[in-house]
Amino acid sequence: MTANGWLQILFFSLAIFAVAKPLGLYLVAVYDGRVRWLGPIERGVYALSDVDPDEDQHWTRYAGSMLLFSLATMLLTYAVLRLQHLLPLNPQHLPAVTDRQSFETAASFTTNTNWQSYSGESTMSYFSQMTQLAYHNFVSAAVGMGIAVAFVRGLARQSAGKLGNFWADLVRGTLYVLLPLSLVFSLVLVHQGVIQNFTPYLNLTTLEGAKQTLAMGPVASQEAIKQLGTNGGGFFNANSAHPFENPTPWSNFWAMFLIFAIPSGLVWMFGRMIGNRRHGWAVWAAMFLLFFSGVSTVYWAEARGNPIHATAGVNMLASATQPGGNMEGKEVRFGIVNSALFATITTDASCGAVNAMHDSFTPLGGLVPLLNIQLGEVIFGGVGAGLYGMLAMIVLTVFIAGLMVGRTPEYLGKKIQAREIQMVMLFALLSSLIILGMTALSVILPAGLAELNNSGPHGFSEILYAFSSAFGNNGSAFGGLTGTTYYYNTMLAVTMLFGRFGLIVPVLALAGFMAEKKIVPESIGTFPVTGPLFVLLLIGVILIVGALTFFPALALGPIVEHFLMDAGRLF
Amino acid sequence: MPRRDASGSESNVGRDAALDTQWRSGALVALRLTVLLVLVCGVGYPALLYGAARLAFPSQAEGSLLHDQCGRVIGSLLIGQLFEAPQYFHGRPSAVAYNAGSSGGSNLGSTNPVLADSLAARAIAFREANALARDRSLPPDVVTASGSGIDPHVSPEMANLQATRVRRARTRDRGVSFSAEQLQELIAAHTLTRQAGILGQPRVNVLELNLALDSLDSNAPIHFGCVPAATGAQR
Repeated sequence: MTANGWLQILFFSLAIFAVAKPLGLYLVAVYDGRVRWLGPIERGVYALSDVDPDEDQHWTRYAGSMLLFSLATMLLTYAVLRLQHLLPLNPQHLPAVTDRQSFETAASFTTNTNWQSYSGESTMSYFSQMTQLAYHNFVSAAVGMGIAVAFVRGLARQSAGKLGNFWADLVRGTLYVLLPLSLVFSLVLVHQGVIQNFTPYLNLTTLEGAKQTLAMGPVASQEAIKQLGTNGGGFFNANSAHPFENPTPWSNFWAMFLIFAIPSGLVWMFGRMIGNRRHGWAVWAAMFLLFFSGVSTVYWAEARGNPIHATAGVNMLASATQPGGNMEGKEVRFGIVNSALFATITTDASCGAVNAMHDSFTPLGGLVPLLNIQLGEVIFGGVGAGLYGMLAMIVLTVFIAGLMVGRTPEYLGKKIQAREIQMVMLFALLSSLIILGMTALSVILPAGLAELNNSGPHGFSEILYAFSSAFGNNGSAFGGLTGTTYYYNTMLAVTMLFGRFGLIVPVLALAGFMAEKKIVPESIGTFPVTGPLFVLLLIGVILIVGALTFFPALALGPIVEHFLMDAGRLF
Repeated sequence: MPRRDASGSESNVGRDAALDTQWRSGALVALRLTVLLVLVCGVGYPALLYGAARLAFPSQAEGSLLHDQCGRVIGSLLIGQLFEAPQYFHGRPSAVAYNAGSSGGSNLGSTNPVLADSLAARAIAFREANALARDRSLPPDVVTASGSGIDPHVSPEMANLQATRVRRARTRDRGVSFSAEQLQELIAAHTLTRQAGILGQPRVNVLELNLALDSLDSNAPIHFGCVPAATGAQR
């Protein structure tokens, strides 16, 4: 670990802090319908699709609209991928994507997961990448933001039962937030060297006289929204490690910034919309502390490196002339600290883009990304998904605090009763059921074990990571698990769909129930949701719920591997 | 009683029908909006960016390509190439043999014997090729495969460790002599520092360094001029 490394972490932290308020203010205005600078386009979209943006929807109708829209986009993507060979903008003449791969990819991009068991440059035509995958990056993110805003409305309103209009939230989030920010930052990325063209792959002769193929494509238009919408699906197989996706330390910084920008702004927006900005900052502080602990752990583990490699005479100590640490699967321009930062950020949020291969991290360096996903990606989190996941954890925290002092728990002046807690428990328990259930099934079935790249505890970690990532709608991987079989394509697709819609429906129900309640004034017995006590209790509940659920599985994977690695054992 | 029954079932039918139309109209809205947003986000936006990028940063948008004197593309500044000849500086090991049409890393875990063995073998081979002492400690990028498989950079230390070998090979095979200082200066001149003084890792672009080396070496192939066969033969 070096002073410069900590400075880079500090620099990033300041940027995330600085963006919270300005972006939060803008988000409040957008979702209030006060931002109108693309008014003609917005009204045109409403008119052509027959939407009344002022219709206030009950939670069931909001959820129904969301499900119908997601289904329509998923079916369209399936069709386009299956018919790719007949469609334009396919200079490499790539064939139709297989049925199982198309199903998985459609599920993956609809659910904002962007799990990719294909490699982009040899599977997807420019047409598929642009009109389907990049498009999903926009709308799946806008859907997530809409759900979060609906939840916050449920908390802020009283005796209402209505959560706003899904269609208007979708269109406004896309037009006023995602599109303009993507356009600006895409140009910044092109300036750094990210490509944006439609030329066929380039065959050239290298300086030594060998043949080399350079994959090309409209990368920049996909790159900014991939991070901004916490999608994470790479244009190329190597994702953000590929120099055409992420050429310089600056492009890497902006990528990381874009992942956390909207989640950070949404937390500020939340504080403003419920009229309690100090509560918003308390939630932000809890997220930041968890983020900082995570990145410190990964940085320490990766800078310390692998003792087995040290025996081969590798110098693990970083200096001004070499990066040190565990560089397997990492890029020299990023070094250890930016790889550790990126891995933490991408799994705190449900992004899943990677600038280094998580499979080749040290056991503890790989444990943190895995745990981040399993904690529900509430540390800033995916756009929208992070905030509504965190709010569910807050309701649970307030409930536990209420039990401890023996009073009816209330949150923001609303009583938390049985049916609210039922929804929260559904939210919290589904993850353990699906992730652990699917992992257990896969280590029993031969089809589950056939795809591993590593054996021993690391092989188990690969499977656990795959299902955690799919359920968390993250999309990063321990990439050694190839997963292009009927078994994994199907099981992971089903897991992704549960992880998205199985959580959104109880969340919207919870929001609907909260919206119906009256706000009662605070009393002396109300648990304060602003001070350090609340921040610590919230962090405690998140860690205890996550650890109780997943510690046994983590002990069998990364934890035991860490000790065996230090003992020099190979598998 | 019968009247109330009848009216009750009638209102149920009415409610079902209303729900039915709600779903149907919701489905229609979903379909229309899907198509509209594909046009805006999936067609309009990439096309707009394509135009803007071509106007503002045409070279980057095309892939930061490098050309020789005859205008042929010899590589991209951003994409590493495979170098094996002794007169060139070498890049990092690659899991995909520097195939920029199929990027990726090894995905080997920390306790995988394949990784441990290849690391040890690479360390021995590097020390032998560069006439280094058998216990000389090496920077990690010498022995580890990158994430992309096409990492264009190495650490300054990895470049410096190769300088003697490159100098000797040029003298032996080409009769061109470089001084040790000349090579040190060349490496230093092609060492990229941290962006904004903070971000990233000091690094050397291998392709750029090798091109600079060839441009100082009057016997290098790039000085042999254009081969006219390509255009000449077609006519």
